[in-house]
This record gives sequence, C-alpha cells and structure tokens, in this order.
Amino acid sequence: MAADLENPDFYVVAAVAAADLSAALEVAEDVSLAAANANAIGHRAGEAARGFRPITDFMDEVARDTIRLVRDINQEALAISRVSIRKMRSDTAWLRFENVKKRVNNDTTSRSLETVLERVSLMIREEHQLVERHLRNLMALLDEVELRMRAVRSVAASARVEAIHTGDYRPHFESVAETMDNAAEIIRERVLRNRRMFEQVELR
Amino acid sequence: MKATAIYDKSHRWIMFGRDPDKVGGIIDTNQYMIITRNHAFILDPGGIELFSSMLASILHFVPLDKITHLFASHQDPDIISSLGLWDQTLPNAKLMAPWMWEGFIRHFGCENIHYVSLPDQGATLRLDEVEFEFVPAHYLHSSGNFNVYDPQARILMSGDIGSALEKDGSPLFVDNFKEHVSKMQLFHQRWMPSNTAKNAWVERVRKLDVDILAPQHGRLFQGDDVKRFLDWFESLEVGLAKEGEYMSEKKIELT
Repeated sequence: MAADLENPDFYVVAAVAAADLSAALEVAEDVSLAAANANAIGHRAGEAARGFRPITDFMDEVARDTIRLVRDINQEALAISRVSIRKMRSDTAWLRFENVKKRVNNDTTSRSLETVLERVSLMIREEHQLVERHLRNLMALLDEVELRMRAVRSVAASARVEAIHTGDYRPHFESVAETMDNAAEIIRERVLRNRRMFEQVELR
Repeated sequence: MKATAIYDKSHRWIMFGRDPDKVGGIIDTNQYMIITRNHAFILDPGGIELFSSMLASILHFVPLDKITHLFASHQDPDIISSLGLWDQTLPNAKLMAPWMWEGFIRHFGCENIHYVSLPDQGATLRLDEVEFEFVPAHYLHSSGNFNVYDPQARILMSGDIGSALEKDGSPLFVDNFKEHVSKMQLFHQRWMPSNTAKNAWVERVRKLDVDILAPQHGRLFQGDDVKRFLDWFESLEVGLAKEGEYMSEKKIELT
C-alpha cells in the first residue's frame, strides 16, 4: 500500500522530525554565539553590565544544554525511523509467510512455516516495543527542551529590564535579549510542531 | 550520513555518503541529489540498508513532495534495492532507468512509482531551467547503463566508472591521482568487461565539458584529475581473464 503524504507513515514522520529539529540545532548554536558576544561586550561595559553577567552565563549554559538535547532528539528520531522501517519489512515478511501457509496442505511444511511465523511475530513485537521506547525517550527530551525554552523567555524579559541600566551599551544588550527570545520561540514552536506530528500518526 | 554540496549556484548538487551508521559488510556508496526550483532528483538512491539514513539526510534539504524523480544507472542492489521503500514513500515519483532492466528492477518493488525506460542511445530530461543528459555507458560495467550529465554544473555522475575500493571515511575528492590509481585499478579491470565499450565511452566523455566526475563509490575527480582519469582509463586493459587466476582447473572446496 502506498504512503499517503497527507497521512504519512511513522518512519517518514520520524525522518521529517529529525531533519526539522536539526534546524533547531543551528538556532541553539546562534544563541551560544550571541552569549559569547554578550560576554565580550559585558567585559567592555564593565560595572554598567554587572547585572547582565548572570544572564550571559545562563544563555551560554542553556545553549549548550539545548545543543546536547537536540542532538539526542535527532538520534532518537533517527532510531525511530530506522526501527519502523525494519518493522515494516518484518510485517511484509509475515504477511507473505502467512499467505504461503494458507496455500500449503502438507502438515510438515505447514509446521515448519509456523516456526518461521512465530519467529517473525516475536521480531515484530520486539520492534514495536523498541519504537515505543524510543518514542517515550523522544517525548521526554522534547518536554525538557520546551521547559528550557520557557525559562529562556522569562530570562529574556529580565534581560530587557537589565539592558536599561547599561548606558551606551543598551542597544547591544537589548539585541542580545531579542536574540534569546526569538531563538526560544523558534525552538519551542518546532518542538510543539514535531510533538503534534508524532501524536497524530499511529504506529501500526 | 555526510551530506556535502558539490555545486551550489542556480541549482544544487548534494552528495551523500561516508555513512558512519552503515551496517558492516556492505560497500560504501555515494548518492547524489540535484535540487532545482521545483524538483529534487535523486541519482542512484542506494541499497535498502541505507534507506533510513538517506531519507533523513534528504529531508534536511527538501520536503518529500519536492522529490519528483529518481535515477538508477543500472540494476545492481547497491544502486536501487531501496526502490520498494521509495515506492511507499514517493508514490507519485518517476524512476528513470535503462529499458532493459525494467523487468528486473521491478523485483525490488515498484507498484506506485512510474518507471520511465531510458533508450539505449540516451535521452534528456528538463527540470525547471536545467536540461540533464542521460549519457550511454553500456557495459561499464552493466550491459545497460547510463551516466547523468549536467552541462550547467559541468558534473558527470559516472556511476561505477571512476569508482574506487577504499577504506570507509575516505576524503571526498582525489588529492593525489597517482596514489589513487592503486585503489581503482582492480575494480575497473575486473568489473568492466569491454575495451571497445570503454574506449567509446572515453571518446564520448571527452566531447563533454566536465569539471567534476562523480562516481558511485570512492572519491570524486575535479579539474585536471578528470582528464587524468580519462587518459588512465583509456590506456587500461579491462575485462581481463587471467590464465591461472580466474581460469584455474583447480576447484576450491567450500564448507
């Protein structure tokens, strides 16, 4: 049966998610760069930027965490895609063996096919469980990223307030806060989109 | 899987390969994707074991519905045994492949994809502003075999021609042609059966303007190395059946 692109198979959804979330990696890398820049400006600004230092430290930490999490998510999504394909091949093999079994009348042949069918059934169950396990891991990682992005948005709001006290450096720090806020929103949106995609498709 | 843009101007050529997740015991392969304004065209999409890595890598560049064409240079499993899965994934796509392998390639599963037979003399395909040529490369090594030439990018995807057998993770481009010869000599002598076909191909390709010769295994050739390869290949005796090696009377007993 052909895959309906309006209702894609599980392996396609997982591969799409892996690709889509990889773009979040680039955004997290931008935040890491923005944190390094903010740190450098902070040193130049001296005392005026004292209140901003914990914010740049937080940005750096959250960027590094996000990069690690997104890499882990990518691995989980790829594993889901890989095992789903394996399961699809096992499903096809099972159907074919079953078809042959229906066509043979000989008891010995039928029994030997029964052994093969049992082995393939076991494989299918194991593959199904493996996909479910990877899916649980992936959902937990998506939750973690989403939580972090919420924290980033509230820190970005504090950063805007702190920027007011940085004198001539205010535009730089406002831009840092803006980068942080935009990045968090982009990543959060991708996380939600991919979660919805997984929730809408059924593992057969 | 590593993805590298080898041409990125009016349209793009992406090379996929050097897959660290590849299962053991299978030969490393290079896959290519051409992206034009409205289309993506996958050349020699690879074996069934590579499918999931290929799909995930491709989706970094294009959405599924943009992939409209596949190409199989010939019938080998490392070229197109993933067809059954592409058939499920891209039911509306077209597969451009040699006419003589249609009944064979369909054994990999081709219920939805439309098989477009390439005639022996070659053909062209226009995707948006780019016209590609399917260049005959019969008997190199398969008896029904094509290369894909892009005159704008000056790239010839040469299938097994120019392939080398070397360690996983080798560099993308040939950096020392003399050293590289040892990695491709046996492959060409043993896999390619016909000196006549080889010389006709060299003559045909010399008339094309090629900057990159992109084989399906091993490193790519660029600039002067393309000419070096053509000279080397022209002077190579292929299809050798050496007395005492392949023709020995002595049989080896297998267990």
